[in-house]
Amino acid sequence: MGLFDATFFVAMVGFTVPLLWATLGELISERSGVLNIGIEGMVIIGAFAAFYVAWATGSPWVGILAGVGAGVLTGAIMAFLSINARANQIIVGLGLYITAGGVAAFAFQQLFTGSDQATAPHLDKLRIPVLADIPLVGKGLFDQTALVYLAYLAVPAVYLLLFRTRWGLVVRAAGEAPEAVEASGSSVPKARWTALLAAGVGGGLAGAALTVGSLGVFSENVSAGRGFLAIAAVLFGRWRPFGALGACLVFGGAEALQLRLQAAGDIPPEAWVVLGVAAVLIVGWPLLHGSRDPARIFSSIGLALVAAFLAIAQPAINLPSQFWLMFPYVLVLLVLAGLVGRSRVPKALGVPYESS
Amino acid sequence: MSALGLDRERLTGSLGALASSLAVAAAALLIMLALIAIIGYSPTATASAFIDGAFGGSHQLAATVMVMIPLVLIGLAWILASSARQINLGLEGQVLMGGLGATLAGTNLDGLAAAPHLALTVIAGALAGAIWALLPAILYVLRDVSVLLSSFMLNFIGALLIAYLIRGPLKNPGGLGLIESSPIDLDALWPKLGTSGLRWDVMLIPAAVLALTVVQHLTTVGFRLRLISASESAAQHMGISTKRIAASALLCSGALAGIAGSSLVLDSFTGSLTENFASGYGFIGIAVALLARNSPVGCIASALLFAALQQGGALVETRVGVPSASVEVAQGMVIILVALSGLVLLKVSRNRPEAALVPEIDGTV
Repeated sequence: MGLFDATFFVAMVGFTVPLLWATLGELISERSGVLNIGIEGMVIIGAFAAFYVAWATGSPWVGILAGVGAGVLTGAIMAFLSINARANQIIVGLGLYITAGGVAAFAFQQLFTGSDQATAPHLDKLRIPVLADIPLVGKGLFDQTALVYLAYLAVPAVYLLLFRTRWGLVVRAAGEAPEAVEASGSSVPKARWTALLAAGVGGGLAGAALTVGSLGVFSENVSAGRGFLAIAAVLFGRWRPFGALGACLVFGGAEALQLRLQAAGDIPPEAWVVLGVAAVLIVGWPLLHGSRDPARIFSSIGLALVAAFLAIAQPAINLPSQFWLMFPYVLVLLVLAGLVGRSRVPKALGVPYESS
Repeated sequence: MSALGLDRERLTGSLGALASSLAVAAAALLIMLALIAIIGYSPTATASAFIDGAFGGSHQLAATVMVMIPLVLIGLAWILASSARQINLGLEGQVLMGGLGATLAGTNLDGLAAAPHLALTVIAGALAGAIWALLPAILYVLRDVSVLLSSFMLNFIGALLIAYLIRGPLKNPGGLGLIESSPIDLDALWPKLGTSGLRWDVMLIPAAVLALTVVQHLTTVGFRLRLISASESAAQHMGISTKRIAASALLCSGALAGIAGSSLVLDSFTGSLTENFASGYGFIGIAVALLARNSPVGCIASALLFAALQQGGALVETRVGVPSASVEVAQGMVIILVALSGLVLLKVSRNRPEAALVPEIDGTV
């Protein structure tokens, strides 16, 4: 397994974790009925705030707090504009994305002009004994920063919050049937406000993970569209926390694979095997949950056969890296088209709430 | 209601919209200037550098007008789609594809006379933009898929496709290590407009604005579009196929964005397809339409502001030292302030449905 060695899994976790933070944040806000395009802005501003404060104070943890603070502040602005001022969510999100990106770039250019690439202190890796020695995946999963371990815990935590608490129930209802929330005496604006603040936490942590959680450097395109990719991941994960985790793993895996394949030349057979398994899992997942859709069964079998054929025939194909990077967006289009399982969008997503 | 909708109530409504747009623009500029002053730069030096950079001489003015061309076209593209209740967040991708289409036609069709070559180049841009809007349109018609999400995802696919092409099949063999396509044939470029420093594609601004205004107010298509934006269900009850209209509006919107992309490539410094030739234009074009409150004519004034911001901001950076990202901050602030001012207008005239200036999104996103 030359391609899928320990380095691959280190890269995969590195790509997946920041995306996961942003995705969990976006998931909560979309569940409450707010499509938050501003998440990209939250990631960028969170990345800069974390970087700058860590650089100024010398403490990565204070930096992370600042990143979360910047994300939450952006979430509060988004909430005020889209909930209290009832401005269009998409427009406000777009405006916040451009403004936040501009503010971060402005501050960076202003504070660090002329200086060589400034480096902020970054989080140390905390090696978990024994687990980190697991062959192949150990180093990627268990020789990581605290922000990565927190992300592992965040997925079940968000699940519990959304599906096992009263707050989660109200948030989900606000995204499905806002009238019912109001009728039961809860407040839709309050649910969406808290959800957007939570999105700010996610976006801010994603940004912090990209700077102080990584090499401690900031650049204006440090986010590289990860906030937007998070919107895709929420969709691909069908608005469920563990679905979001799966989506982020698939997207992060594609990015890591792309990086590894740049050196590999033709696509090696083990890549076809892994891609085949992934494709069958994605298409066939509902089969494990009792679906008996014949189209799904046949396409799963077909995909497995194609992958097996490619692995044996070893055709001289070398996809350019850009095509691997397109992969998440193409997948999401397939999901949207209903070709890879139907997704059920929260009913009130994007609909402003007018209390009567 | 007169043919062009110039009755009194409408007129006061649009005057209010005009006043609020001017207020938004002024507020954004003043906030920016105040922030720059607080940081410690001289506000007067900044303001004068800004004005010099955008309007200081015929050269600067021409550069500003050149930036307006794609901005107006993209603004119109947004207006067209949103008049059919579609949120076309895929404009950025459609602009990119327009540039690609124009490059393919502009570098390949050798042996053609100048006029047909230019025409085919622009048409190829329009077609490519429309093709990039076709998939969202099909998905919407056949499977009710949110155009907002599908067109948005196509932005990233388009950007990666171009990143690949200019490194691979379209790479300029004679390029000096630059990542770009071969330059477009000189005879496929728009002819120069006298000594103004502009090219004839500046005429696309009045032509497209006029065309959209006429379509909106003097044709049955425009009537249907206005019905749909007033009430989709009422339009359906009248037997109008709202989906077909929405799909056509999307394709035309993509074509307009494609033409914008063709101009971006044809007017570019290198005259070739480069990686970031359209960076951000698709989104700023949306801001242009928002500030114009979806009025085609208003897009000209609104595009002038955004183009001036970009050109003036560049000189502010070189002369005063204010980082150029200040432009982005101002642009984003305009969008946010427009969204806020919509609320103010809504409060002033509660009973006028047109006052909800940004089209509501339907239940399914």
